[in-house]
Amino acid sequence: MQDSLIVISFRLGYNTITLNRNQYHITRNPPMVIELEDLSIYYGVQQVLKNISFQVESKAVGMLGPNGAGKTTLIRTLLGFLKPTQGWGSVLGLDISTRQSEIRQRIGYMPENDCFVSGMNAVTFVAYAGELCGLPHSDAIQRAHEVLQYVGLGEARYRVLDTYSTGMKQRLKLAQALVHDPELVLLDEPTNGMDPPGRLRMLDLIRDISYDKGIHTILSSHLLPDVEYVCQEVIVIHQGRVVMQSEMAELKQNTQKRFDVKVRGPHERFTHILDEYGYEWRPLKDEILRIALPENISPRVFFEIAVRNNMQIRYLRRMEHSLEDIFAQAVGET
Amino acid sequence: MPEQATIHDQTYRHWNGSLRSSTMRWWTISWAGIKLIVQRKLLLLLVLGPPTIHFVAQGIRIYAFHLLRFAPLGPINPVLFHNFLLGQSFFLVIFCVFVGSGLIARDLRDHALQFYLSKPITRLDYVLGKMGIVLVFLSLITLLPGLLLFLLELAFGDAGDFLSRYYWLPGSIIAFSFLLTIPTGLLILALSSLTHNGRYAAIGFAAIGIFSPVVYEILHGIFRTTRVAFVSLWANMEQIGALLFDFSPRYQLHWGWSLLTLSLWMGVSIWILRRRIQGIEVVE
Repeated sequence: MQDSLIVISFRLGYNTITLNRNQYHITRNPPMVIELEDLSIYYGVQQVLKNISFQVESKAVGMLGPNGAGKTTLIRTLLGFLKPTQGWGSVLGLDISTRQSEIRQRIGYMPENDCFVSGMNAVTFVAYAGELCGLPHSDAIQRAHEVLQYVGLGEARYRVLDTYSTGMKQRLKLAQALVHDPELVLLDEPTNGMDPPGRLRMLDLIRDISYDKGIHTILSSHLLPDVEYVCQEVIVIHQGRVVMQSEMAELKQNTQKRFDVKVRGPHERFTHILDEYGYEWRPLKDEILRIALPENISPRVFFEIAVRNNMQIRYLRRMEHSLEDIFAQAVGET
Repeated sequence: MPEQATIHDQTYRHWNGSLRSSTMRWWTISWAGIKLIVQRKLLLLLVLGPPTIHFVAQGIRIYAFHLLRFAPLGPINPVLFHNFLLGQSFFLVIFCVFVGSGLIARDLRDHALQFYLSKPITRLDYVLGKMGIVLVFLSLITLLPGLLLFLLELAFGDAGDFLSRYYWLPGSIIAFSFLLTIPTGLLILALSSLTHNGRYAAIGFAAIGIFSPVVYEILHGIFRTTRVAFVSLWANMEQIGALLFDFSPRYQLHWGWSLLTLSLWMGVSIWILRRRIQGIEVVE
């Protein structure tokens, strides 16, 4: 009789250990982009981040949450501005409590607020940022020109920063975050105060950085469409806690089986049958019902119900759910 | 066959070099700050013009003493160098009020601390960088002209005799210059870090610079002793200066007390800077 095969595999630090009867095998994993474990931060007596644990390994991750949820605090913790009161974290495999300088050298940060050195022009400012990160002077100047061209400020690069518009300032902040060619960029509300075309250009830039240039991107925003447009993965933060972390594709897939349906006449009879079948529904405006179907059930079922009960389906539309619904669901506001 | 032209695209390119270590990044901050100040020609004229005129006047005095035998202001000795440097301290105040006061306050106003501290530099690098700006300009007002005056004396006078008598004078000039510039620099940076508006820092500095001697005069009037000179920032400097330049001090105050008082000023300034220079501002 053949022995049953038992293989146990578990992760320990950056290693995966596989046990196979009397043998073991250790595989070195590449470090996660971000890894947090039970991380808490206090401002005085107020706990602003509450036992946060998550891992990030994909290229573009959105950090969603309403204003005051703790997104900026989390970014500042990753940068080492704040020391965790409790728990542990790493960025690019480097401990956030002890190796802040190395972390900052390898990441770019685009803050939410305007932050400039007044009196400088864009080239000087971006080159200055590069030199502070360790670029040699000549390389910093060359990179500053290239990066400013890339973000669309090539024509305005010799203008004094104090004369820049909000949109230009946002792009400049992105340029200073990219000048030293970081492995990870942390973008805090990058589209704040921008007009719609400017916003779209900024989001396209972020997509390009993340998908074509291979730079890991953490996009913190309270604007759901921004995250939806750019990110592969989303982390929802609410009141200092992570309330959801999921792949964007997975989220979208889970929401594809929702339908908006309208029947002729009063819908009570129809909803009664839906209840009997065990399908979730809720009324929307104009007598429309939003109905969630299980994965294996086709929308054909609506017509079958209608035919059997002598009813008419007047409107049927598959819902392309926005993140807004998911977000509301995650923070318990449905 | 014609040489092929290189095609430069304008997209983002990765950088293949290696980043430098962080030991001298404070100087990057200093250098950038110095360049920004130098761009403001009028300001530069305001803060460096008067001390240059004062220096030229002293140079003429040395020239007149040796070559024209004209000495209405007395001989050339260490007291002259001490008084020259102490006189320059007025221009230190001018520099601190017009330039130094905004060095950190402007960064606080523009949220630039976030920019600096998100780079691989420490808070100490930042303060050293700002201090570097102050020290470079204050040295242009004190150390450099002080040493140049000494060289002028050697050039116009009997260099061998002067050197044999006052060989220690360059050391005293350097030490006294640092004594004038370091506490002053730390004080103006500390005041600048307390506000988002450089004007308040300037007013605070001017108040300390002007009112501390006034407080001394009041206390002197009440207690009839110059031992209370420790309350005056400049009196303390003058007192240690007398020791460095080897002449009788003006106040009946041991130089140790003056050194202790200046150390306290510097200690408080460093403490303020430590408290105020943070990556984030937490509003309690």
